[in-house]
This record gives sequence, C-alpha cells and structure tokens, in this order.
Amino acid sequence: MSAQEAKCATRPAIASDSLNYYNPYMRRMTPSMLSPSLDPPARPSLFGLFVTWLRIGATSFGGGSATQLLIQQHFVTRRRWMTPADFAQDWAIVQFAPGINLIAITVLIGYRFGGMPGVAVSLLGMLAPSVAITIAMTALYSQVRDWPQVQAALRGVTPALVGLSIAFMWRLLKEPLAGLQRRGRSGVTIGLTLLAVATLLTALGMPVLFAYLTGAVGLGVFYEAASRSPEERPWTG
Amino acid sequence: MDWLTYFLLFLKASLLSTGGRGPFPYLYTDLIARGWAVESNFAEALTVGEISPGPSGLWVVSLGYLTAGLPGALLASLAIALPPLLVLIVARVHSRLKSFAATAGVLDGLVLAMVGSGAVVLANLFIANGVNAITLATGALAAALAFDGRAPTWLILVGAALAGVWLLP
Repeated sequence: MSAQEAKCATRPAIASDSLNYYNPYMRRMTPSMLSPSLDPPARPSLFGLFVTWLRIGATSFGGGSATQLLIQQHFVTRRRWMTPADFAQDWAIVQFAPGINLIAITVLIGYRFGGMPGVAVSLLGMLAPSVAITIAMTALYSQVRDWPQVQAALRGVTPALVGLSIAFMWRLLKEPLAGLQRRGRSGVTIGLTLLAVATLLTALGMPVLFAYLTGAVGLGVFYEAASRSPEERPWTG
Repeated sequence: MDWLTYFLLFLKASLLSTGGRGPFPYLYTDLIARGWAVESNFAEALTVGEISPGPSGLWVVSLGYLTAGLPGALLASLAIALPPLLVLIVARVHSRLKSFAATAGVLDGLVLAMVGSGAVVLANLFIANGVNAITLATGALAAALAFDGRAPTWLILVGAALAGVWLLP
C-alpha cells in the first residue's frame, strides 16, 4: 500500500470523528462546520485590533493582493473573528469606496469591531509602521540620490517601472472588458472608444479629471441603458 | 510652498480615484505643471512604494517626502487616509448602490480612464528618462516578466537597477 492509499484508508475514521463537537482536534480544524452556539465568535478588543493591524502593516510586503491575503489570514483563518463570507462582503463594499482599497477595508473592519475608536486604532496600526518605513526608506534614498551610480540605477529602474505598470494595467482592464463583453458588441465598441477618448484628453493636456469623468459617466450611462433595453438581455426573451 | 494647495492636490488625487495607482495621473500632471516635482521623482517614489511594506499606494507618501520633505510626507499620508473613510457611508447604501446597473458602469469606466490617462503619463515618464535600445529592452523585459508573474517585483527592479549601473552610466 502506498503512502497515499494509506492516507485514504484512514480518512473515514477521521470523518466520523468530525461529527463529535467535543473532539478538540476537529474543533480546531473545522470552525465553520461547528454550530455558532457551541463556538461563539470571538471579538477583538481595541488593543487586540491595534496589534493585529500593526502586524499586518509592518509585514505586508508586495502590495495589494499579498496584503489582502494577509488581512484575511489574520482575521478569518487565524483568529476566526470574521467568517469568509463576512470578509468577502466587506471586500465587495470596499470596491465602491474612493481611494486605496486596502485602507478602506482597514476602516470597515475597524468599524465592525470597535466603532469609530476601532477605525482610529486600525488606521493607526495599519499605517503608522508602513508610513514610517516608507518615509525612512525615502529619507535614506535622498542621502544617496545624487551619487552617479544611483542616478544610473534610476535610469534603469524607470523603464522597468513602466513595463511593470503596463502589465499591471492590462490585468486591471480584464474586469471591465469582461463586463463590456457581456453587454454585446456595442459594449466593447463603447468601452474601447471611451478608453481612446480618455487617452486623447490626457495626451492633449486636459485635466485628468475630465478623462476620469468621461469614463465614469460614459460607462455608467451605457450600463444603465443596456440594463433597460431588451435586445441587450437575450435571456429575458 | 503653498501647503493648502499642496494638500488639496493630493486629497483630490486620492478622493477622485480608486486603487493605489489611481492618483498617479493627477499628481503627475498637477505637480509637474506647478514645478513642485520633476519626472524622476515619480520613478523614485513608485520604486520605494513597490519595496516598502503596506499598501502599494504608499508611494504617494514617498512622493510627498521627495517633493516637500517630512511635512510633505505627512500631508500626503493624511490625504490618502481620509477618502477611504467614506467607505462607512458606502457600506450603508451598498445594497442600493449595487442594484443600479450604472454603478458597475461608473467603476468600470473609472478603470478604463485610469488606464488611458496612465498610459499617457507613463509614456511621458519613459521619454523623460531617455529613449534608447537599452531602456526599451529593459521596459519590454520587465513587462514580459510581470506578465509571466513568477519573478517577484523587487527582483525585477533590482535587476533593472543593476542594468542601469552597468549599461546606462
């Protein structure tokens, strides 16, 4: 019997065990399977909230999705303060908020557990270490920025940043493109036209706000119109 | 330095955009037009933002420091911390907001505009840095590695920095 088969052979015993709420092993492993009355959700204190965000803020390298995962690990997986559904709902709400999504979810989770004081300690915990480290790194850089080697390094880094941003923007475009495709051929045409108009407005030196407004208002009106016109909704017959 | 205008420019950039890179086209056009920043400041700030902890949107804080020292960094921090507070209002009207088809359109349209404006601003940044075979190759290689997704961002940036020291002195 291979190791894999041996593992499978023991599985039924574990599965029947999992029905026993008092089995400490299973209590630890499958919180979502347990009834809430037997395992009431814990809530962090203000201090606990602050320390958790402090840890996230100081250790979240690698930007957006890495930080999102880290928040999920701390609040959902490790502490069980939130269910995966709670987190998914908060993340969905954050998409509608202005500014940086990761700061908005910090605000929302802070409010969920501690009202406005919760928001304050969460923001402080999340931002204080990362802002301090960012300032310290920039200050260090400022000390050496005039060195010829540093200037040469920057000349190499700048085109790389542009390349990274192109890949980033391409990924960003996927969601709106999928939304436009769902609205038929006219959707794709209107989307690409708005993209071209926004590009042109900025290239001509118009305020960036004009480009953003054109995109937002243009697609807002189109999606609303598409939701009302029957030919865009073939499934309604 | 007119601190109020400086702060309001950062606040506008954060309030009227979404995501960490959303403020980039606003800040690039506004600060350079006023002579408060030069093109290279944006490359410097974005690099620090990529390698420092926390949301990648903190590149704005680095830009604040590079353009106006510690007060600039603190004002920039405040400017990016305030707009997300509006999420508390959004959370109350979220289910109503979501029921309008226009809401998804506004969000998708913002992304389209950000990509369009961002492309222009990135092209300007690239041109100001110098267009030659080496910078073109570096940009193309970085884009290819980022599309592939296996190499971490910091490694791509370190590689590009070394290429700069050796090939672009």
